[in-house]
Amino acid sequence: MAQIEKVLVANRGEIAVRIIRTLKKMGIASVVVYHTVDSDSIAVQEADETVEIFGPTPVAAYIDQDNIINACYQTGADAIHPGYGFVSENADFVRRVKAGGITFIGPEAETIDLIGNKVGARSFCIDNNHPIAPSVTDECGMELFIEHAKGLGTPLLIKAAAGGGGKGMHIVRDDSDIDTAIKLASTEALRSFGDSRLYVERYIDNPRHIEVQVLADHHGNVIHLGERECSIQRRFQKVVEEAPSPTIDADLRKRICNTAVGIAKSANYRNAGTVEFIMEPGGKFYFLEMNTRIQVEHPITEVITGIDIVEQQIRVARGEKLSHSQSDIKLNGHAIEVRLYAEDPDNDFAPSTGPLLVYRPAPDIRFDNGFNEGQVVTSAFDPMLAKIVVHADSREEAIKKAVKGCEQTLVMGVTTNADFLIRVLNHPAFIAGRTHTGFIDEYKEALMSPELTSDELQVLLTAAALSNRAFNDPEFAAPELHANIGNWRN
Amino acid sequence: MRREIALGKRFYTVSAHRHGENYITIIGGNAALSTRLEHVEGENYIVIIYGTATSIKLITHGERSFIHAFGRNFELDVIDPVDRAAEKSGSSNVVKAPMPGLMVEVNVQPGQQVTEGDPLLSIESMKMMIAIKAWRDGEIEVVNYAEGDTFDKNAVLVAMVEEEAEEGEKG
Amino acid sequence: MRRIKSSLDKNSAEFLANQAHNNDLLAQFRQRQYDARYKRAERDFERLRKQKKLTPRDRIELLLDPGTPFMEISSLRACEDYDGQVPGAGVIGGIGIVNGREVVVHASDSTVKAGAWYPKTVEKSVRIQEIALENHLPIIHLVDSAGAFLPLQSEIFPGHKMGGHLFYQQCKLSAAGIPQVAVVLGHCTAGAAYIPTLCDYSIMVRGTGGVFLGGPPLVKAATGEDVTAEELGGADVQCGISGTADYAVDSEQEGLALARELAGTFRRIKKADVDNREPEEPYYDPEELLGVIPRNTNTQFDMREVIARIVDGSRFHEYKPDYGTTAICGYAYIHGYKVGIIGNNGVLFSDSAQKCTNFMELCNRDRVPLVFLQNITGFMIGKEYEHEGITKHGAKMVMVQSNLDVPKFTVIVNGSYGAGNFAMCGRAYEPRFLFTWPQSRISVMGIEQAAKTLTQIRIASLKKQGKTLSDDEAKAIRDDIAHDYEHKSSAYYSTSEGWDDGIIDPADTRNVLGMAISASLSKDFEQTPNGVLRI
Repeated sequence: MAQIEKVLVANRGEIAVRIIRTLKKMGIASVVVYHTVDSDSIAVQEADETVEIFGPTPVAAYIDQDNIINACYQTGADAIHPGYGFVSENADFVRRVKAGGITFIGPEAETIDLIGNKVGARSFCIDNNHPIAPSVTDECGMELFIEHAKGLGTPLLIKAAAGGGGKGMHIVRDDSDIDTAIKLASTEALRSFGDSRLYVERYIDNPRHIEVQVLADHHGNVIHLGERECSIQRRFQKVVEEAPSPTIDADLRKRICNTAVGIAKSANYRNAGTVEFIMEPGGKFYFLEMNTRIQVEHPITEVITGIDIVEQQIRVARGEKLSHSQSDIKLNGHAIEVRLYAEDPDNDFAPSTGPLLVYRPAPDIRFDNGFNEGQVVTSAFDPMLAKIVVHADSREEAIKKAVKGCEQTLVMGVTTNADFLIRVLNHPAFIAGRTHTGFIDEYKEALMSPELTSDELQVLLTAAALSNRAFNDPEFAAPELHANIGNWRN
Repeated sequence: MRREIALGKRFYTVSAHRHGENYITIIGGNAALSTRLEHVEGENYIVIIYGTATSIKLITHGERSFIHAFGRNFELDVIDPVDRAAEKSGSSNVVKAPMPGLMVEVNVQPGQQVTEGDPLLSIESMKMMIAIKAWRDGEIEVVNYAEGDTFDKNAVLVAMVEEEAEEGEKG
Repeated sequence: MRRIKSSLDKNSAEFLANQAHNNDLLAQFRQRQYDARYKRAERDFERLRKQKKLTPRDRIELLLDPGTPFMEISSLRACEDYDGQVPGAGVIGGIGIVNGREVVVHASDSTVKAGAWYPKTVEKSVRIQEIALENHLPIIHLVDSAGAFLPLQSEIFPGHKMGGHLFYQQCKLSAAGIPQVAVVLGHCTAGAAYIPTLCDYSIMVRGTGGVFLGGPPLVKAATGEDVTAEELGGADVQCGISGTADYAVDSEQEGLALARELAGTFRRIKKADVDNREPEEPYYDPEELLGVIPRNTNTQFDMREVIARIVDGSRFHEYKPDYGTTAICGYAYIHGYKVGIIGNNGVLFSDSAQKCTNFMELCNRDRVPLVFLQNITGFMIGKEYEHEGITKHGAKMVMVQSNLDVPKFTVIVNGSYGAGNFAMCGRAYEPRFLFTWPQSRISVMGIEQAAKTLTQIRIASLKKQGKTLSDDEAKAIRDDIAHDYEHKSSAYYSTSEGWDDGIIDPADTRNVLGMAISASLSKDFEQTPNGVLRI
């Protein structure tokens, strides 16, 4: 049993807030590290203690292992929760933490090496007879790798071995592009994840992305908390997630979830993790990767199972046995999460920056958020502002709630994808459950902002003009006499 | 007063002037509208055009207006006319050397996307170091000098790709 | 204040006949004005397009605030000279609003002989600057001129109020604290190079703007030096190297936007303290003026009907109504400003002259600007009136009027003859602005009289040479003289020669006066000593 009385949250934004709140609920002290750009954030305000960290860039500060470990010593934190991204799947970091006598809330370093690494995971699955899509790994040098990749045939998906969260992935459709694409991906991987290794697999068109949440303790118990469908993606970034999946029947659910549990078991997985699959139309599924950490979209599972996953992570890290058995797990109703990004869908989803002049969530939703009204959104991090999570008895209801959640969440000061999310949720294909990873591309036209009517344009331009000083400043207004005469010529 | 207002990728020429209680607003070459903007409270406003009222939420930050209307969100920018005219004639696509000097640091390369404020180059002149920052969002077209090169006054140091914009209702 | 009670019968044959007649005259005026402003040979527009220049009127529209009026001065200047080849005398001037400030706009009309300076061009420019100086208004010059029209240089260069006077006035404007901006959209060569240089702010357009004392051809001829206009005195040279100008821009639009921004920095002038109230539209329709004005200049009409269609609410407080009834004096408001109005209802007698004099003194004491509505054939003549002292009483009126401190405004509503023109503040008496109606007439005496007199003189002189004339020959001479006289007494001739600040549509009188009064109040006025009255 490990003592956990003070947890250092090595993360920021909404996940840091979410972890801190569960810590408070459990009566555990919280510490958060923060870079100065986050000094006005909710996490910094709610944590019991804060430690400022530094780096050449804000991101660099959060992935600097020394920063985190020193902050632990400084505050006497006995455990680290890494959230997602940053150092959450860095096996070296886990080893250092453990060596420093600090509990890492997550799986063992070896497990991460084994199954957190995309390349390793695939070999592992092959060895253990878990289903995977045809692929090639980079083990024999760039030249051979490229040759093997070409052998797979297009379309191909190139991935960074140490990557995750959809980053560092490229689709190649033309044989002639394979060479340059691989070289480019390798450089990118080195820069973003510190590891230039890649792997390449056959790309399946329009698959569904199904993932299973698993929980494992240190006593050999492994359960699943049902699946999530995360097919609505843009450039491999998840945009809309739902639980349960609209197309999976009880039988398929059993098979896919049991496969996930099997993978976790054979990897001696501990703590919370997610096994991601890619599913063909027809139901055949292949192992994609395992994320050895908590996922962004975990709330939808929490909401339909009633289980606080972060709490379970901490309990497992303490050495407790899982508080639920598989039969205890019931999936109630339907949940949808949409990710609110500070980006402009009308401008190729370019990130938007600026102050959150007005920032008010809709009522009746779960709003996992790290920003305070008035805080400035910078280009230092990825543009996710918050997650809007809704729960209802039926999928239909859940969609309506999600739409309302987007409509009524007021964000002014940066451009968001809220209107875009509404169009996705209201799209007939989404409502019919015909979701797949190419959804956004396929319905690109329909998902574009509708043209404004001339009446709407008049309202907008009038409002913008009349509220602007250039127009309403009396200092530059025409004198009364001339304003009364108006546009007259003699 | 007359200004161009940017909405999305389009520019609209808008003129508005006081006429008693209202403003006469003209968009592009269209008919004049009798308009009024009433503040309710906080970010709630009502736009009245010839008696038809529309509720909106509005907040301004500098020259940018954030508007929530018809269930959607919009950002509009009121453009300074001198800047706009300069932009149209292309002089806002380059930075010229304010005085002769030496290129000390080049932080960008052609094709690179930059955000307003990003440091592009550092030059040294008359014992002073000057940082040249991106004056707008855009793509770097060319940097004409390498680190260590000298240049004259008015030399074009760096150019950005010309912004594409569609003219909205110019009338 | 009570309203004037109009006794106009809009259905009478008289009214309708007048209206039809004056409608025609108005239509003719509008046509002539339109042609003067816009009708040009295609090549004049082509030339501008090739040079990537905007038309002068487009430039003005970009300069002015949207939704504001522009009162143009003398749009038909030179319409009866130079064979009609120099419409508007090649320069555009007027009062408009730029960034909330009342300014005088002074723009070269580069669609007319490439903006070259004819003698009347210079005269008009001098007048435009005079308006800025007299009324203390900022001035914005939009310069795009080919320079002096050399064949007429003796009428353009050497005289007192010729070309050089423009630069003198600029110096006086500067000393008076009046801001000046120049937007150099073409070449400013020789003397004209001083225009932007004497301004407070000078904006030059790269590629088309040039400022140099001698242009490339002259330089080549004088010293053999080969140099382009841009190298010699282009925007970058004058703004970046010599400091002769201030802002180099890449386009006319940028230059005009910058000029607007500069105008926004001008101080807001506190207007002279005069009484005003909320404005009110006239109760009677100004369009009806066309039915009030008689078809024949000699026909009498009631000036009150004119006043009623100019002033706010048609309200008028008539001063001393039972005395000197051939002059109408009273208080009214125009666009909210309180003014004193003096109008004619017949010839001036001793009593009417005295009444006017008295009224002007009251207005001067109480800081009430004066508006003169002229329809005057002159003072009454004859033994009775001379013995009464009409010359003396008329002189008092002229003396007081000349020395008035309050701003004066004159509209020649119908006829303006002889001494009546003087007493009623004709051009020579320096009203701030003077406008004429299209059908008006101006001369030293009526045509009939003049023709008769001149013909008699001609016949007498011929007789001295031993020649006699047949009736037909006499009639021919008389017709000739009458024709010439008629030509030179028309509103068009007057406006062509610059004896007024423009012909206006009678219905526009209210707006024109309103803008004129507003403009005049940018200059404060104080009481100054009056002349001595011969009592």
